[in-house]
Amino acid sequence: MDHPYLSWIDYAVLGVYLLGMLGVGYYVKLKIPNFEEFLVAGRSMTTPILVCTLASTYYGLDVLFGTSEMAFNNGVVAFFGYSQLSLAVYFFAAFALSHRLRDAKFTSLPEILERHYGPTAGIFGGFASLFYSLPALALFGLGRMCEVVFGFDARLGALGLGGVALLYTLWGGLWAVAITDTIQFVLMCVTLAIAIPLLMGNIGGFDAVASAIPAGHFAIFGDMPIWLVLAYTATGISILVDPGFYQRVFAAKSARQARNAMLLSLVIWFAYDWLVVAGGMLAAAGVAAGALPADLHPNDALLTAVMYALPAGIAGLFLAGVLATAMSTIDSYSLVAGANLSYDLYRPLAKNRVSDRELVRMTKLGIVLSWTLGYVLAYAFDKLMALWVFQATALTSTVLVPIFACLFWKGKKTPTACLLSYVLGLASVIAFYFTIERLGVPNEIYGTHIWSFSFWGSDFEIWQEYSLFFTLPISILGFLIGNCFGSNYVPPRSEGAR
Amino acid sequence: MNGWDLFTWFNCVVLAGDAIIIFGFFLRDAKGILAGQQSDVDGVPTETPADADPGSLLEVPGPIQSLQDRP
Repeated sequence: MDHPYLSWIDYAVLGVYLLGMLGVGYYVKLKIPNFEEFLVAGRSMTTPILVCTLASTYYGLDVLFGTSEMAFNNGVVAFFGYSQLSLAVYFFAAFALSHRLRDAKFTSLPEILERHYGPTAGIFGGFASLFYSLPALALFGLGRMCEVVFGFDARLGALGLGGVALLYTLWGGLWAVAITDTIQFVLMCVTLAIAIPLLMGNIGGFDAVASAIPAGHFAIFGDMPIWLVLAYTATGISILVDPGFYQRVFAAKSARQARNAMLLSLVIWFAYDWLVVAGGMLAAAGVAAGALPADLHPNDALLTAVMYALPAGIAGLFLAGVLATAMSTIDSYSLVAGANLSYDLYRPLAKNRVSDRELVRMTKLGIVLSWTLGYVLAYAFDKLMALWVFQATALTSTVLVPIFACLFWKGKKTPTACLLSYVLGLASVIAFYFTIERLGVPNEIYGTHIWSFSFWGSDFEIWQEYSLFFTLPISILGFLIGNCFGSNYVPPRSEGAR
Repeated sequence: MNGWDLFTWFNCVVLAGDAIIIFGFFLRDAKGILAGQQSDVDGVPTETPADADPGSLLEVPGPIQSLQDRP
């Protein structure tokens, strides 16, 4: 537990934070009357709490460590080329989706498919959403942080701290998730906003950065290939079918509050992204100046630099903010995955004859199962970032086209169209990753696989990140072909009343 | 202090300021949340299922039945 930059005050702050999260979960547990309260918070969330839960859920350790690592290695391109372009997709989601989703009073993402294409489509959507929501990456990141900061075994760290998130989610459902997210959101934002100016003071600001790192690190798009910039932008597309985002829109008090929360979150994400990038670049300058260890791993750069700069007590608060970043992601997606198991998979199989109490019980069982699966995956794979990209690509390539057809296309859309789009999309994702893994070579700079080949005298490169350029058109093609067969789904009479 | 420093300071103020203001609004709502009834932050009344616009999502069969009513 001995860390050169931490004192007992910091550990005490962390202890208080963890106990506080458990306290909130236990208190909310006493106030949850039914399934709708547990899963979508009674559809009564207001703008402030929606902003907090949206902003903290989407910004996990991948942003805090991944983006700062990119800034440490490549400079401002991590902000302009990697982070910001995908915010344009979020802007679209705020205006185009919030009204359509909230006003129709859905409970989960697969339910959209179920209502428009039938129960089979809903079950397929449930599996896709469940796979995407397994919190493997966040649990792995939590364990890694415990290893770096506290010297714990990573698996034990993930088990203990991830277990706290599991416990309060089980107790209080979405209300507990949202209230803890709110506290976590404030910790994440305020501690980062305090840490970066202190780090600037210690290192000497951006004048020191400019003299310590290559001038190319200040080029807006660096030497990043245009297709890669587009691919990073495309990663934002996953929010258009992100079950966690949908759950928050369903839980909003009104569509307007959901839209406003999304727009306010964009401002938060913009500022947060820049501060993370600035932290990575300042850490690089700190290494060059000898203030930080020369063998500092780029992935640990921000964390180490900030702990070096912050005084006792505030460093503990920052670490609580980092824990918060991971825990807010783990709790939200475990809850979504639990609901997929109970509401989207178990309920249709039980022909809708499920009581409220049974749904809550099944959801809690699903939360435990999904958390456990995420934990197993976290330590069964050594390429976890690739697994996360695969999860996101699989969800986007299977359900985006059928769901957007429901939301934006008035004409014919048959169950066969949905299923063919889903199956071809999934098959193309698996085929793409298998091909790149087999034929490509690892690239250490970008941490990816690249397949280089020549065709008709020209040289081509296909990066793992380009997957959506291939799989989405195939999913669209599947939908168009399938739409030639059959007619629109007509719900049975008893279901039509819903 | 160069332009990047200013940009960083600006984002620090935006991030911390927004977080504190939003948390203040959350505290204003917290009493209602804990009591099970939210206050009306944006002046938008709470919708009932009957208020839902069934045509807002194309061809939605209709508002969902409350789960509490499920047999």
